[in-house]
Amino acid sequence: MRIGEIAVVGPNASAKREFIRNVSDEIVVQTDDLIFGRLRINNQLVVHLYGVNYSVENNSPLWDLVSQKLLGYVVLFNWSQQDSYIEVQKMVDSLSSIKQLPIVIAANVPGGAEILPPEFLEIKMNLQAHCEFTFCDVSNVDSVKKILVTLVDAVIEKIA
Amino acid sequence: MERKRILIAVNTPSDVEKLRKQLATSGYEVKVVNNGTAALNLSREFQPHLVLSELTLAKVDGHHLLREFKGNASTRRVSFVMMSSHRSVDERVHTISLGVDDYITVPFDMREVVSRIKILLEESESIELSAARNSKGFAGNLCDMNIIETAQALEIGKKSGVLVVLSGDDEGVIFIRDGEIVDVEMAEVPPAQALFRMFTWSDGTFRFDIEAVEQPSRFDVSTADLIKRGMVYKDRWDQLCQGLPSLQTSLTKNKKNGILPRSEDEKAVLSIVNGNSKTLDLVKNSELDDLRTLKTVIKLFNEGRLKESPPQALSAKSNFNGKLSKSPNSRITRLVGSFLHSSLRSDATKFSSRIDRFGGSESSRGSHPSTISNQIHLNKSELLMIREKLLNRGKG
Repeated sequence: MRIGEIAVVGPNASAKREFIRNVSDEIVVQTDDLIFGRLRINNQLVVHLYGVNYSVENNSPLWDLVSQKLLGYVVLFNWSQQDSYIEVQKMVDSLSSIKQLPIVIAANVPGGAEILPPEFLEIKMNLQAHCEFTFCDVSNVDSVKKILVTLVDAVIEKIA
Repeated sequence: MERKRILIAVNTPSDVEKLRKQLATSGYEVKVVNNGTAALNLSREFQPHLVLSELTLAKVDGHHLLREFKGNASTRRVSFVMMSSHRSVDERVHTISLGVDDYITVPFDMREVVSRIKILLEESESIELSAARNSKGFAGNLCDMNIIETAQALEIGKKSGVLVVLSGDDEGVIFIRDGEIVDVEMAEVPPAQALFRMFTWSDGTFRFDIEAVEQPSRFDVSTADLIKRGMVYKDRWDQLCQGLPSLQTSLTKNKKNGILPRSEDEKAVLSIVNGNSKTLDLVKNSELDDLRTLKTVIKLFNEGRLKESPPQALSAKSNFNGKLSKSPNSRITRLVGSFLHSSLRSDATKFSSRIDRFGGSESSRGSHPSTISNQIHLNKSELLMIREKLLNRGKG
């Protein structure tokens, strides 16, 4: 069985849980620290989605365990919680320092990003070449899938 | 119709006697062994369709047994169910990451176990049928037939298809049309170098799936020429390898003997030696081609400017020395909203400036305790399958 792993990290546990629940065929494990979902692609290929706590300073052995076959990371945060973005920046920086894998930074906006007025999208930010920024609504299955497609596209681009 | 065979490996067979009887009543052929070695030995003759194993098994434990089954091309498709009384999440995740098909916590409900086994076997049969219908090809071990020999055989037979080669954590894919190699894929490695690298692999497995290959050729020489060059390359590689204890040897700079580079090649190699770099990792991560890197490493080693790392240093630091495939500043992209108030903007600026320095040797990446590699473990066609599935399916 071929396995691709995607780690979903971010400061908000419930957002990660909802994200993974919305796209997995089955939830294999769920605890306070971890949600592990499995998405079967075909008889030889499966995607493991890990919603894990990621700490910039100190990570549990669990982190190394789930990061052996990583395709990339989704860094998820709630757009409404402004302070959490500082943590997100640190996470992205730290993840990038470990492994140059694609990262999709996903800002969860209930109801979708279209509710935001255009003037909210004016500040440009330099992101590394392997980082994408996008909005999503973790309660919406299509929105969650879109995030994963963005990540997979970035992985394909990386190996091209 | 052939009866499905189930092999149960538990320390105390009497514990599963009721289950054995129930499975036998359900029409399965069941054998029970009381240790992992017996399970491995019996599996060759019994050729089970499903293995139900206890995790803490005598002699060869359940994880080892699982690796043996999933790591062997002939038994990879045998369904494997692990039973354990452990409720540790780490343990469970680890087992699942090894490729187990199902995980049962002891004590279990017998009806549930029988039902899960039935579903797994039906699923497996459907997979086999589908595979038999859709797939033609062959697989083997590199120790029996290396990639040069395989490529020669495919060239003579003028076959078309995809050759997937696995060696340790590395994977390469060779696309062949009418016997001619038209393209090679390996994460972050140019096609020709990737092909020659695979020619040197002597440990691992390969699988060739016969299928139409449409893509244009990326090589301007014939496969016969590529193979000839590959043979010369492999000879040279093998000769060079004799100059080192092992490609797995971890090397560090020997400051006593001077570590200032005396050439561009030395500079390229020394810049990626971070204290515990395995020779093979240096070869993979160097901006030079593999032979030049290996030659330079050996020269530095023979001159005493690189030395073997002391054992205690091996796991202390990261071995990440990956080449950046893109310039860190190559893309100024996305927009972040004005919710970033002034303090956040300040942080964002710092963040960006850290990013600007990312490609530099003073980056903090070397201090992270993780030692994971920098490779994508799936190939492009598998990623496209994931993409397609995500785009086409509903939830569940």
